[in-house]
Amino acid sequence: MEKPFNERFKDAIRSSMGLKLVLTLSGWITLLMLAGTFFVARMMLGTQERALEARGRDVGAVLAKAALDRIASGDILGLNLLVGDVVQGKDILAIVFTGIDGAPLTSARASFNAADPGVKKVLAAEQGEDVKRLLDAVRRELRPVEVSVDVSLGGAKLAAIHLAFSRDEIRGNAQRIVLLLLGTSVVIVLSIAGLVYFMTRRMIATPTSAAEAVASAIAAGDLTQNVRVSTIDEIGNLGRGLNRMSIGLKGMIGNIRGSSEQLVLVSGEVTDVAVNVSAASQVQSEAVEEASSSVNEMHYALKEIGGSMDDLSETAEQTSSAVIETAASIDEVARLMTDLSSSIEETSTAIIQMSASIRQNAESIGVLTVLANETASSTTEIDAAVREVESGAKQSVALAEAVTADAQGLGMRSIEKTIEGMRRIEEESQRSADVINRLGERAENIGVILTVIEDVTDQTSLLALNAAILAAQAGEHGKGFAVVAAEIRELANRTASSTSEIGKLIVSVQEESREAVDVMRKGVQLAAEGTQLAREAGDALQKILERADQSREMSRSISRATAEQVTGIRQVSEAVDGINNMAHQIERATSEQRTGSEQIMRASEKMREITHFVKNATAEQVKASRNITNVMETMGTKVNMVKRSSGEVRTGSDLIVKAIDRIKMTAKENAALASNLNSAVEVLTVQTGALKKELARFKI
Amino acid sequence: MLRVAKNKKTTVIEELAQIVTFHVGQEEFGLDISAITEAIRPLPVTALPRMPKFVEGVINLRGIIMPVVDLRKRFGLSEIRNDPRKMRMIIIRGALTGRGGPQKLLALVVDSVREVVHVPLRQIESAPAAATGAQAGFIGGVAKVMDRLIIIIDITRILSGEERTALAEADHVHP
Repeated sequence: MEKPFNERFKDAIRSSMGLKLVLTLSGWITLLMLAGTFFVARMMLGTQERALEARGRDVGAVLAKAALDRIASGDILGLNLLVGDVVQGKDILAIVFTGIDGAPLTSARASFNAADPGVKKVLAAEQGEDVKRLLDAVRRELRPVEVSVDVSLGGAKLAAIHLAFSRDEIRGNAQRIVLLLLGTSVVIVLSIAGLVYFMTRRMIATPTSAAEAVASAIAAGDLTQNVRVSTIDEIGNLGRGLNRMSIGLKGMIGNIRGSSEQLVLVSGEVTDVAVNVSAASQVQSEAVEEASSSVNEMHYALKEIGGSMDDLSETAEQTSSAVIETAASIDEVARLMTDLSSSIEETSTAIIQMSASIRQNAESIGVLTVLANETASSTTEIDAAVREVESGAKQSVALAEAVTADAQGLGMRSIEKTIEGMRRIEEESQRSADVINRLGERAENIGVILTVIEDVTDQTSLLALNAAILAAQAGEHGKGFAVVAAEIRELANRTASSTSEIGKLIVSVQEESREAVDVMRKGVQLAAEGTQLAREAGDALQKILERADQSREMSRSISRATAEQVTGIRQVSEAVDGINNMAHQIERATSEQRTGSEQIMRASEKMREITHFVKNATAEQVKASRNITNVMETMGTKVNMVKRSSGEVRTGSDLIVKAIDRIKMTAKENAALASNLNSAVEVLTVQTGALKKELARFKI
Repeated sequence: MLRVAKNKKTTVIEELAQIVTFHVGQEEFGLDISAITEAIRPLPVTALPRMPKFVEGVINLRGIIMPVVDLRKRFGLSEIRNDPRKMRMIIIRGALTGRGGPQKLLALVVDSVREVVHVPLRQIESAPAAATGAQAGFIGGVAKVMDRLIIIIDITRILSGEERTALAEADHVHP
């Protein structure tokens, strides 16, 4: 992951002001020095070349004077010797004499300086004695400085001397000067660069980076850092302003943090209160459910009672018809008894007139037997009808008792449970209303804290503005600081908007709690109505109980009368059996015909007595039967009354069920409001948490 | 302050003015940031005897005594304040002595301070001719920022020459 060296170098330059200055300055000075060196070198080369040419002209003039007489006398050998001597001189490459026609006069051996390594190389390469060609080769290869001097005598040109000088020394001198200049330049550039770098570091870079570190720490929320200020220049002012801002911020953040902690506490309390409200409405809801199930139980019990009443009514009707039948039978018995009485009277007469006709007597006895048989069967019928009445009455008693037990047990218990449930609903509603009122008060407390936060936010915003002013006056160095100031101002604005949002939330919490109190009040009212209805239902049930008791009493008296009737009927039956026996005995006595009329007379007397007895019993039975009929009618009326009041109770019970349903709906509304309240409180908690988190970023 | 704005073909270097904006009445005004030393919440104003009429009194800011000028009265607006919690004093320098002299401070009472805006100089126009009368000589220009119009106040012309002299005399009486 190591960056290449030139990348790292570029980064170093970008981040350091000293390096930038040093690089710019030294680059510029180096450029200037290089240009100067170039010009100096060019100038020196020109000067030296001109000096060499002057020297060439001097040498040429001396050589022309020395060679004049040799050329005039045509002494070429002498000329060659002279030239061969001179050509060995310093820097000289070649000396060539040419005639007027341009042909060389000196020989190749004499004309060129073989000691010079360049010339030696050219000579070795050319391998010839042609002076002109060799001179061209020297010119091409070595680029000498050339000078031509004319040899003239009395104005007439005799010959020309061409001198060629080496440039090596000139070049050597120029190189030395350039090296010297460059060396000096390097030393100057290095010293200036060092000085500039040191000054920049000392006066600008170090204090600015210290201030920047503190500003970054503030931006990150750490307010414990301070800038050490020792100068009174612009950078010193920047540091002092930064310290002032840090102290101001420290105070403010402390305030805000205190307020926010209080806010968190209050918010926690509000959450608790909201949880209480939720729990209370839960309890209320459960109580309503319980009351509802109790009311439903009662309702079903009342329906069952109604069914029982219907059964009772039916049974009573059946009993009534059976009793009427019985009465009819008894009437018949009475009529038969009257017949029997007259027959017995006739029998008595016949017995008294026994002697008159045995046949007539036997016929009468036959009629009597038939009649006795008929009577026996009628009695059996009566017995069965009476038994039916008895069992009906018993059933009536059992049903009336069941009605009483139901009304006393299920009905009364359900109504008491309903009243208890209603009372608890009322209590819980009252408690919920109290809790919600307290919640409203807490919300007002939060409002007070919010004004403190608003004030602190306002002050923060003002401080950030002043920081921006200070940063602007610190110039370029304050730029980073200006960014921090803008961020703090932004933070203050965000806190302000968050605060106003919390304010709005509190207003809505207050409104909702007022609404919740209203709903609770309605719930209490409904619960009171429900209690009233339940009490009315209890009264109605009490009436039913009384009527059921009356019914039971009637049924019992019916039962008792029927038991008496049964006894009477048993006696009638026995009597009828006795009549039968008597009739048989009479038959036997008649068939014997002679077993004694006294016995018959006695028997006849006895029979008359028994007939009287039976007659009386039958009259009693008729009376009892009438009684039974009356009682049955009364019982029917009562049963109908009971049936009507049972209907009333059922209507009351329906009303209670509806009231309970309304209460249930109210409780649901309460629960929904409580959950709304909960969610509002949750939003409040979240906002508070966000505020706290923002504040936790600061270290004081 | 400079800002480098790059177009597709050319690179333009714009000069930006940093303006602190504030409200007096319904209007938004601006002062160059270099003229302001700080903005504070209002301090209690002490009225001194024989003070010139346009001065409310003096305040003591960390040991420095300076005169106070209410811009609402100065601009001929009603005395009705908006939110007293938002009112600020802006401490400026250069209004009393003009350029070059010792930097004496002056406090201006404004309704509220808004923000620091960076405006390119070419967006600041000179004051319209109708607004350069004797009563509105303090308007140094009008800056357009988005759809807002900020009236830039010329710091050297807030007080007239006579007022400056009167203050200087008062200063001699109460050294």
